[in-house]
Amino acid sequence: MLKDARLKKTVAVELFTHGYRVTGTFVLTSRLFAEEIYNPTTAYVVLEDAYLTPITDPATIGRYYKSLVVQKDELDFALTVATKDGLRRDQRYKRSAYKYTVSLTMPFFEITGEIYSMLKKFDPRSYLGTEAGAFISLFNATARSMFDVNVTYQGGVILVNHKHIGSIGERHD
Amino acid sequence: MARILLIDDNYDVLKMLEMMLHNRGGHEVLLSESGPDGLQMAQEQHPDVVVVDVMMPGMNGYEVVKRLREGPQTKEVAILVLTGRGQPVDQEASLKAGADDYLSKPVQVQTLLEHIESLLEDKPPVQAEPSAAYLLPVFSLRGGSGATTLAVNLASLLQLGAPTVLADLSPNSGHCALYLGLKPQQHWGNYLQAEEPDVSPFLLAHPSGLHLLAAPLIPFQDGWFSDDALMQLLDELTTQARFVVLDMPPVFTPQAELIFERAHRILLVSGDDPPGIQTTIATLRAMAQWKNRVLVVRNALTAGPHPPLDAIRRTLHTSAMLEIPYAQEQRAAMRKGVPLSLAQPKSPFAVGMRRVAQLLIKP
Repeated sequence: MLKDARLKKTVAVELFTHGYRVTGTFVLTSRLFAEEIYNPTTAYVVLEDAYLTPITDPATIGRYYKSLVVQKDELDFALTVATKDGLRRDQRYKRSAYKYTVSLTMPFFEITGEIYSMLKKFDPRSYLGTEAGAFISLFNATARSMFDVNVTYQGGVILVNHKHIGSIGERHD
Repeated sequence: MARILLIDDNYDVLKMLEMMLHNRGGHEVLLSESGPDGLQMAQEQHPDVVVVDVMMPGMNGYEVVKRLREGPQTKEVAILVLTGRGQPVDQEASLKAGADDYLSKPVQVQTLLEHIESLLEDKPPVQAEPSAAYLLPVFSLRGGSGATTLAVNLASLLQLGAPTVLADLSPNSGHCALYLGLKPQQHWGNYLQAEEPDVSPFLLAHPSGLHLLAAPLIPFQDGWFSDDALMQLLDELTTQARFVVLDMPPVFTPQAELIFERAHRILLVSGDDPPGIQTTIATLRAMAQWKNRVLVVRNALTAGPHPPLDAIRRTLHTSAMLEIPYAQEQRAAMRKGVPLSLAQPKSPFAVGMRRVAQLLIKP
C-alpha cells in the first residue's frame, strides 16, 4: 500500500512551449519537479494525463495525452500554483540573501516575479552571467499573455528558461 | 447531510474526496469516473451538489457542466468545479459554462466543506410549478416505519413555499394532530357526516400556516371512505391548497389504489431492517404500475450504523431512493408541536427532508 501511495504522488504543473499551454501531472519519484527542470543530465520532462491547448484559446480543454514529453530546451517556462511544488530541495531550506522584483520578456509572454540573489545591488547582467543556471526561479510570479493582456497565469513559482529570455530588468514600481 | 456526486477520472482523487466529504462532512457521496457516467448518475440519483473535475478524457468538465444545465432534471443542481487548472482564465470558463463555484486542486478539507455548505445554503428551500395542485401520498405497508413523521415534516416544509393541507387518513387513531400540537376536535369523520362537500370547516390551522384534516382519535363508527367520498375529498383538498400531503393508512386497499392513480408522486417509506426491506420489496411489486411516481425513502429509526444505501437500492432494484437520518430530537419536537424540519432547519434530518420535498415537486 505504501509503495502504491508513493508511486502515485504527483504535482499539477503547467508548461508553456512554442505557443502552447500544457497542463498535466508530474509524477514524483526520486526527484522533485524543480530538480527535474534544473537537472542538466536530462533533456526531457514527462507529464502524465496532459492536455495541450493553444495559448490563443487558453480556457479550452485541448488534446489529451496519457503521457507527453516536453523538450526542456524548447520550454519557455514552467509554472506551479503552489510554491512548495516549484522548489528544489536546497531552496526549501535556504534562499539567497536579497530579493528583487524583476520583469522579463519571453516569446508571447511578459513575466513579473521575485528572484533571490546573492548580489547586494542587483545587476541583471551579472545575475544572468554568474548566478542563473539553465532555468531561473521566479517566486509569486505572473505571466501575461501578449495575445490578450487580460489573460494572466499566476504561480507560486515560475521556472523560466534562461535561453528564451529576451530582456530582463529590475522593477522599482 | 447532503448527497454529493463526485465526477473525476482519477480514482485516487475520488476516494480522497469521498473520505473528506463523508468522514469529515457527514455527506452521502456518489462516485463517477467519467462525464457520461456522471451525467447518468445525476439524472437517476438526484444529488444536491455535483463536484466535477475539468480535465477528463472524452467528455471534459465544462461539457459536463453544460449538459447538467441543459437537463430538465439537473438544471437546478449546485455545481462546484474542482480542477488542477487554477488560473483566472479557467475560473472564468467554469462560471461561463454554468458552474456555481470553483476551487483549485489541491484543496484543503475545510475549504471544500465550506464551499459545499455555501452552495447548499444558496439553494431555494422549495420551488414548485405555479399552477398545478400536487397530491402527495406518504405510504408504508409496515406500521411503525415513521411514515407519519415524514408526512408531517414534508407538509410543513411545503407550506413554506405554498398553501399546504395535510390529511391524516388513518381509519383508527391518527397521530398527525399530536405531532402538530393540535386537538382533533374536527376530523374527517365529521366531514363524512356533513351534508356540504366543503372541507374547509374541518381543517385545523397550525401556527406555521399548515392546515390539517385530522383523523378521529378512536375508530369512526360510520366506517372509512367509500370510493365516491374519497374522490370528493381529494377534489376538495386540491382546491384548498397547492400541496396536499396524505398520511395513508398501512393497508393496500382499492381506495389506496384510487389515491395512487391520482397522485403526482408517491413517497414510499421503508425501514432498513430485514422485515422492513422485505415489505418494501413486496410493496414496490404491488405498485409496479405507478413505479415512475414512487420515491422510496429509507427512514432510519435508530441511531448507529445502518446497511449501506447502495446495497438496499440494489436489493430493491430502484435508484430513486433517498435516506432520512435518525434524529434523536424528534420526540422533543413532537412535544412542542413544531416539526423538526421547522424547529431545526439545519439539522441533517431537515436537510434530508428538504431534498425529499424538492424531488417530489420537481416538474
